Amino acid sequence: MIWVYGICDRPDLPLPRRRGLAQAPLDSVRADALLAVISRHVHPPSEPALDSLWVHERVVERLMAERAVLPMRFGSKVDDDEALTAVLEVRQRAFLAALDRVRGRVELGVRVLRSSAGGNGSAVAAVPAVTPPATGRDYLLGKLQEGKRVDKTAAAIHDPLAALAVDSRRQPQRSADELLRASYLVERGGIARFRSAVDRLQTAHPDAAILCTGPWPTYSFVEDPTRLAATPGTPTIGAR
Amino acid sequence: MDSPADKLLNAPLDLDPFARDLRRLDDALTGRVRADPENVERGLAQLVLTIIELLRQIMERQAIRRVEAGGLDEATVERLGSTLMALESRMEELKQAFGIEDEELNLDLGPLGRLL
Amino acid sequence: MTVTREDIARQREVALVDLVDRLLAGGVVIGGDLTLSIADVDLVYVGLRALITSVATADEMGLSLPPASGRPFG
Repeated sequence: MIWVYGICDRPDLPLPRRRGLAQAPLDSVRADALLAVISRHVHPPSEPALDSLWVHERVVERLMAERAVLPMRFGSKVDDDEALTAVLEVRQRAFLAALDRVRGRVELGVRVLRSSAGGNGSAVAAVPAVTPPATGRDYLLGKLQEGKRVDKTAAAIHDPLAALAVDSRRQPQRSADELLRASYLVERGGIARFRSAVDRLQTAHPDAAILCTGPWPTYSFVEDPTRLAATPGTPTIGAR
Repeated sequence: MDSPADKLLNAPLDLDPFARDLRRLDDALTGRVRADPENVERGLAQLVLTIIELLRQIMERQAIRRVEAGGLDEATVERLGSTLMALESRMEELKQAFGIEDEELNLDLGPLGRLL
Repeated sequence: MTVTREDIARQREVALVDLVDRLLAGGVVIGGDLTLSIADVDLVYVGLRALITSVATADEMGLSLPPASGRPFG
């Protein structure tokens, strides 16, 4: 079976010498202007360890150094060359459009958690304790105000960063002390400027702990946004 | 070749809260979750409470939106609020009774993300 | 400021969290995936392979885990 790392442009370029999973050499399947970079395996790798995630990731990053790459979701496998060629042909236009969107760009991730006031991430407090609400009305209004505070802080951090990016994806907050979780599609040359902006925002918001990671392959930006709207990858329960 | 730590471009001094997710992931990845009876029962409690918590949060969000939109009389707002407040405190009691933390209620559904 | 081994371990963990989020929930998906709808929630897209591959042994992959030595991944 065939393990797929990414779908790339520049099929004319030689493959990197770097090895893939289980030390298998990299190979490729081509369809016109598209190249799927793969490794071939006799036994399906079904239960990977944490290290194999990095092995996979390093292959994608190595490809990214010289091409536009659509990174595959980890675990993307096909039975044989024919199956893969069929996918490339059927979705050729979408893939080429997606490659245009990510060429020369990287993904930066941002996570923001609550922090105790005055500390620069030195301690993360849970939802700040307030005097217990006296009435049901107080309870609801309290929640409403808390929600607005969170939204305001999240927007104060997200909006300026989104302005520095070509595109961005926000996810719903995953826990009570998470303020923001987002990915930004940024030009390679714009990384330093983005980092400076994060630094400035951190200084401006001592009540938040801001983490920025990357550069990553563009995992969050390979799907067509309109298609995303129809079939979201994350649940939309109560998402704003 | 750079190391994983190089991926941290801007990072606060205390990284623990940002690494919290990994503890649960690591348990799953190394198969450390055992199927003894106590764990199974706890796992069930976790699942049930998570679903209840999910519903509670959905209802609460709906109520908050309705209050925000206006058009509800005072008595209704009060009734909604009191009920939700009671639900929240009941959830706290249940969590304590089962010794389950907030984080554990947030089931990881892989590509679906967290449940809550 | 000296960086301790624990600092490095924590940094790696955080990087891993962000990586896994992306690897398992992002990227292009091909083959063998279901689209589910759950009552009252929009169509949710599930990557079965990604779910299945979240349990670990290194053996099947023929990989041996290097000892945690702080060496960069090579």
